[in-house]
Amino acid sequence: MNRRDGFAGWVRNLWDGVFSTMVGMGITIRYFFTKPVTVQFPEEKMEVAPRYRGIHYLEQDLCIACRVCEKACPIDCIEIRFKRHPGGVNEWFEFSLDYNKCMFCELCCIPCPKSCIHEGREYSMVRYDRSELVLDLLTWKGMREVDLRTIKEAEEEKKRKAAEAAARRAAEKAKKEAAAKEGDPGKPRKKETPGKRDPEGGGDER
Amino acid sequence: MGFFEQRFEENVLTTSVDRLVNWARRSSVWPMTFGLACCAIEMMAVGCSHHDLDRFGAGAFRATPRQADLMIVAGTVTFKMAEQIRRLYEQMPNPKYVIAMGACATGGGPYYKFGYHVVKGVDRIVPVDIYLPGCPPRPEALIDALMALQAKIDRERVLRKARAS
Amino acid sequence: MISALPPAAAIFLAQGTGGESRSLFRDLFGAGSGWGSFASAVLGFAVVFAVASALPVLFTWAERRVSGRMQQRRGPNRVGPFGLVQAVADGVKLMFKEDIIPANAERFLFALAPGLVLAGMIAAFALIPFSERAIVVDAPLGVYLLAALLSLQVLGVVMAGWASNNKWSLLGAMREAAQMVSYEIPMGICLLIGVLSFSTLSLREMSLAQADGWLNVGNWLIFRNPLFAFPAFVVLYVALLANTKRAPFDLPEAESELVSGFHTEYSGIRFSFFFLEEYASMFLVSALAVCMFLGGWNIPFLPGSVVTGSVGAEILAALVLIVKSFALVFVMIWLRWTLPRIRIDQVMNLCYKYLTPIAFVCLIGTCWWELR
Repeated sequence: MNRRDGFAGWVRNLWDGVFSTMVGMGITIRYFFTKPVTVQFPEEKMEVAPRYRGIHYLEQDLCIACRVCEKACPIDCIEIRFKRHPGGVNEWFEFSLDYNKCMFCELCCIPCPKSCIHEGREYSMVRYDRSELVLDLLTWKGMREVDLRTIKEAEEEKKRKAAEAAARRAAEKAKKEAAAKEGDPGKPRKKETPGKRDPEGGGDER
Repeated sequence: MGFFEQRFEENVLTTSVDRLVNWARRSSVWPMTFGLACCAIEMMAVGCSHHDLDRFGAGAFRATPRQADLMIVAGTVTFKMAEQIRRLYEQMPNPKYVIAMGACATGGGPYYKFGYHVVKGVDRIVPVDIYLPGCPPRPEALIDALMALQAKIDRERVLRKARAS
Repeated sequence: MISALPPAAAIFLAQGTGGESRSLFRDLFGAGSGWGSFASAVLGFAVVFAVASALPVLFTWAERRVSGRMQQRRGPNRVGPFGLVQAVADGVKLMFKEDIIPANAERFLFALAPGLVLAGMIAAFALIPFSERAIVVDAPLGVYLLAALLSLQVLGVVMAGWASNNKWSLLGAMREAAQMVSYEIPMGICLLIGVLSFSTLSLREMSLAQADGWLNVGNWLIFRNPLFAFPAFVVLYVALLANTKRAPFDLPEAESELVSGFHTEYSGIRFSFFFLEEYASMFLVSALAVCMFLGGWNIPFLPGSVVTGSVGAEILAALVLIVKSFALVFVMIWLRWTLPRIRIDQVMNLCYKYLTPIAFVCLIGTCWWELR
C-alpha cells in the first residue's frame, strides 16, 4: 500500500508541501541577508586566470618572420606580409589577426621558435564594425638606422662577394680555356634535362 | 512614434525629448532569451550573481521577441538556424538592436575554413550593431558590449532630423 | 485611450451602488447632487489611476532588487539612485516602442484586452479602504464587487489569448481560465469567512470592526478566530497568488513551455498594461487580505481611539495599510524567487484536493466559532 494513500497520506502531503516551502523560503531569506558577490564590472574587475588566453600581442623585435604561427593556425586567421632584405632585416607590411575567426586556441604561440607571439590578458574587444575586427599586431615603426646600416653593409658584402665570385669564375674559365687549347678538343658534353617536371604542377605552390 | 520620427529641427523641445527617450531606451535594454551555442553559457553567466547584467537594467530576459529590444546572437549560426534568426529579428518591435557575440556570430569563427554549415557572420542575415569577438568572450566583455550599445543608443536621433552627411 | 474608459465607467457604476455618503470624495463635493457625484467620481478616478500606476513602479523595482539580493546579486543600481527610476525607464521605453498587431489577429479584441485587464484592476482599487474616510467608493457590496472585478481579468486574458491568433497565447489563456475558475472556489469561501465573521460585505466596516481589542491586535480576524481564520488566511493568500498569476502559479505565462503565454504577441504599451496589471494587482489582493484578516488600517499597539478624526491620523492609517500590504507583497516576491513553477495538474490538485476542503472546514468551523 502506498504510504501516501488515504487521509494520513493527504495530511502527509500537506505537511510536506508546507514544510518544504518553508525550508526553501528559509534558504532564500538567508541569502537575502548575505552580501552580494557581484563584481561591478566597469569599476571593479575580476582577476582572470593565470594562464588566460586573451587578445594577442606580438614582441616585434624578436620575431624572425618564420611564418610558423601562420602555418600552425587551424583556421588561417593570421596573415603575415613582409619583405626580407639582405642581412636578415625584415620590412613588415602586415601581421594581422582576424578575430572574426580566431578561437584563442594558443596553437600559434606554442610552436613559435622565439616565443614572441603571446595571448595576453585583455579580453574585451568591442567594435561597431566588422572590418575593425582584424587586429594588426605590428608594432613595427619603419626601418631603424641600425637596420638600414645592416642592409647597406649586407648589400655591400653581397656585391663584394658577387664581384669576387665573378672574378673567380672568370679566372677559372680562362684556366679551362687555356687547358682546352692545350689538350684535344674531344666531344662537347651533352647536357641532359633534369627529370621531367610534374605535369600537374602541384606540390610546391608555396 | 513612427509618424514623428526624425521630422523636426533641432530645438530645446526635441533635444530634451530625444534625451529622455534615449535615456529610457538605454537604461532598459531587454534582451531576448536566445542562445545558440556555447556563447550562450557565457550569456547566462552574465545574468548570474558575479556579473549581474541586471545592474544596467538589462537583466529582464524576455522570452518573446515582441517584448525584447536586444538580440544577443550568442553562438554558431548554422544555415538551418539562420531562417529562424531572421524571423525572430523581424518579430521584434522597433527599435531593435543586435549584438553578435563570439567569433562564430561575428564572422564564422573556427568554422570559417571548413564549416560548410555555418553562416559566415550573422551580419549576412540581420544588421548587427555591436561585434564582440572571443571564443567565447568573457562575461565582462559582454557587459562591455552592452555599454558600447548604450553609447550608441545615446547618439540616436528620435525626433530630430538626421544629420545630412 | 480605450483603456481609460472601462475603469472610469466602473467607478461611476460603483458610485451608483455607493449608497450612503461615506467616502472622502463624496464628502468633498457633497453627495446627492448630480454634479457633485460626477466631480467626486472624476477625482476618485484620477487618484485611483495615479496610485494604481505608481505602485507597479515601486514593485518592479522591489522585485528586481529583492530577487537580486536573494541570488546574491545587486539588482538594478545604475539607473538613478539605487536603480529607483528603473521602472520609469522601462515604462518610457515601452511607450516609445513599436506597437505590433499581428496580421491575422482580431484587431478589435487585441486592442481591447489589455485595457480590459487594466480596467478591472484600476476599478478595484477604488474599493480599497485606505483609512476610515480615504476610500473612493465605499460600496455596501464591496467584497462582492471586488471579487467580480478580480475575475474581470480572466476575461481580458482569455480575450488576449484568443485575439492574438497564436497557439501559445491560446494555451496560456486556457490555463489562466482553468486556474482562475478553480481558485475562485477557495478564494470565495475564504472571503465568505470574513463576511461571516463581521456580517458585512463592506471592506470599510470590516476594518472598523477589527479595531480595538488587546493591544489593538486582538480583534484582527486571524487573532480573534485563530483556529479557523488563520488557515483560511493562508488558503486565501495562496488562492490570491494564483489569481494574480504570480509564481509558482505563473502557468499562463510559463516561459519554458509557452513562450510568454497570453501576452506573447503583445509589445510596447499594450504589453506594459499587462505588466502594470500584474504588479498593481499584487498590491490589490494583498490589501484585500489585509482588510479582511489583518486588521485593515488599524495600527498595532496603538489604541484606535488615539487615531481617529484628524487628517494626520487618516494619513497614518493609510500608511499602516500600505505597509501591511507591502509585507504581503514582499512575501509574494519571496515566494516567487523560492519556488519553481508547478505543473498544471499539480495546480489543480492543490486547489481541489487541498485548498477547497481546508477552506470548507474553516468555513464550518467559523460558523461554529461565531455561534459559540
